[in-house]
Amino acid sequence: MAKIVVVTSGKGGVGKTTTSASFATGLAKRGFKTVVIDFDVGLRNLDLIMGCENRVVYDFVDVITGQARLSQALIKDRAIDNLFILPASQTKDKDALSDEGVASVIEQLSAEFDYIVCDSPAGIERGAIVAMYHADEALIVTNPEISSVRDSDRIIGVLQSRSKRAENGDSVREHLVITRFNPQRAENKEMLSIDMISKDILKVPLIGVIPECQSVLEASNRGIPVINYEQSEAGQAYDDVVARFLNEERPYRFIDVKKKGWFGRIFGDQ
Amino acid sequence: MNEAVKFSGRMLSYSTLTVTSSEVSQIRLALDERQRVAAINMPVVLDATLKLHLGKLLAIVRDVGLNPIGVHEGHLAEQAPQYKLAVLSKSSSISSGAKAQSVAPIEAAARPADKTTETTQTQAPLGVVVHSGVMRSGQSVTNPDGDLVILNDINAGSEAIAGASLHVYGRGLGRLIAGIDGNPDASIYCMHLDPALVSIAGVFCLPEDIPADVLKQPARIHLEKDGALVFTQIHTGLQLKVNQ
Repeated sequence: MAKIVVVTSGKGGVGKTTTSASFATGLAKRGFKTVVIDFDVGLRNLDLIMGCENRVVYDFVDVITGQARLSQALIKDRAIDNLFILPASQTKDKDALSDEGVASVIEQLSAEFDYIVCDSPAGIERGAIVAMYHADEALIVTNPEISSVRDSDRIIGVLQSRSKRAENGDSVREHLVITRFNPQRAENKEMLSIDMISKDILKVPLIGVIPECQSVLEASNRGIPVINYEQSEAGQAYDDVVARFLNEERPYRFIDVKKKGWFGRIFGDQ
Repeated sequence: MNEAVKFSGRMLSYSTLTVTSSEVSQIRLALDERQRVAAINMPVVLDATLKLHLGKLLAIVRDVGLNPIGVHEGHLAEQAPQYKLAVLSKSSSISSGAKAQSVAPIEAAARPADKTTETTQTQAPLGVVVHSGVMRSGQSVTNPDGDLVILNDINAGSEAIAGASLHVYGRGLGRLIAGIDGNPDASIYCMHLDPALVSIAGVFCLPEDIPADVLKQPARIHLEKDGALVFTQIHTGLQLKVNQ
C-alpha cells in the first residue's frame, strides 16, 4: 500500500508544484517507486516543471472518464526510473474529478507504488478538497508572509475536517515547508520568522525551509525539478526535506544571515 | 453636525420562535408550556416550517406575552410587510444557532459534530462544551446552550460562540462571542486577548476600541448594567470601561 502525501497551501504561487516535483523526485532517487499527480485540472503546471509537457498524450481526467487506461496516462520520467507523472487535463474543469473516479485511480496506484504525491491546486474549492481527501500525510507550503500563513491555517482546518482520515476519526500528519525564505529580510523583520510561523501561528512541525534562490526559477524554466540542482541552496534544502520526511536527522541550513567576509564588509554586499 | 439621531454599535440579539404545526390549539398549548422560560415582552423572530396565516399567529404569540419583531426568510416572509414586520435573513443572523425558546423540539447540547461545516463539538457535563484543538481560520465552534471552553488558540479568521460564557486558554485572535441569547451575565475570559471582535449579549467592540492595556494580556470582559463592556486585566484587577 502506497503512502499518500498531499502538497497543499491554500494560497497560490507559493511553491506547491515546485515542492511536489522536487519531493517526488527526491523520494524516487532514494529508490521508492513514486508517482506525482497534478490535481490542478484546467491550470496544469506540473508537467512543465517536470519537463514532460511534450509527452502528455492522455491525462488524469481521461483515465477517470474511461477514455484511457491508467498505464497509458502515466508518464515515466526520463532521468529517474522509479518516477512517474500523472498529468492534469488543461481543457477540462475541476468538476471532471469525480469522487469515485479519483478514489479508483488512487486505489490502482496504491497497489503499485510506494508513494503517491498529490499536487493540490490553490484555493479551498473542489480541486483542493479532492486532492487532500485520500492523504495520509500533508506538506503545507507557506511563504513567510501573513496572507500565505493565514491561508495555510485555513487549509489545515479543512484538512482536519474534510479528509478521509478525519471522517474516520483519524488525522493527517502535517509537515510545514517554508519556501522563498530570506534570512536577511527575516532578520530585518520584513518577513515573518520561522518560529513565528511554525510555533506561534500554525503549530505544525517544520520539515524544511527553502531559501529564496535564483535556481528555482531557472530550474522551472528548464523543466528540471530544482532538487536535481545539487549545487544550489534550494536543491539542497529540498533534499533535506526528503531526508527528514524519511526520518533522517538533518541540521537546518540557509536559515541564518551569512556572515560577510572582509571583502564583503569593505565593498558592501551585492 | 446634527446629532438628532445616532446609530450605536449593538448587534441585534433575539430568540427565534419556530412553529412546526398549523393547529392553533397545539401552538397555543406549546407556547403556554414554554412560557415559563420566556421573559415578558421578549423580542422574538418568527419562523415556520410550513405556510401559516401570519395574522393569526401574531395574535397567539402576542397573547402569551412575546413581542414579535420580525420573521425569518421562508414561509412567513411574504406576509410580513402587511403586518409591518421586518424580514431577517437566516445566514446573516449571528444567533441563528440559538433557538432556546423554539417551539420545535429543543436541540440538546450534544449535537453531533458536523464535519462538513468544519464545526466541531465535544460533549462535557452541564451543557459545557470543551474544544481542545487549535481553531483554524474559517472554523467556527458554537455552544448555544451554555459555556464554551477553548483549550487552545483561536486563530485569526475563526470564531468561538457561546450561549453563556466563553473561556479561552490559548490566544484569542479570532471573533470571541458570548451570551448570544442576549444573556447579559455572560463573560469572556481569555489568556491572551488580541481578538478581531468581542461581543457579549450583542454588545460588541472592535480591536481599535479595546483598551491597549488589556491587549495581549489575560483578561476578562463583562457587561455592565448600563450596557458598557468592561475589560479587566486578570493579574492586576485593572478595570477599563468601554462606552458604546
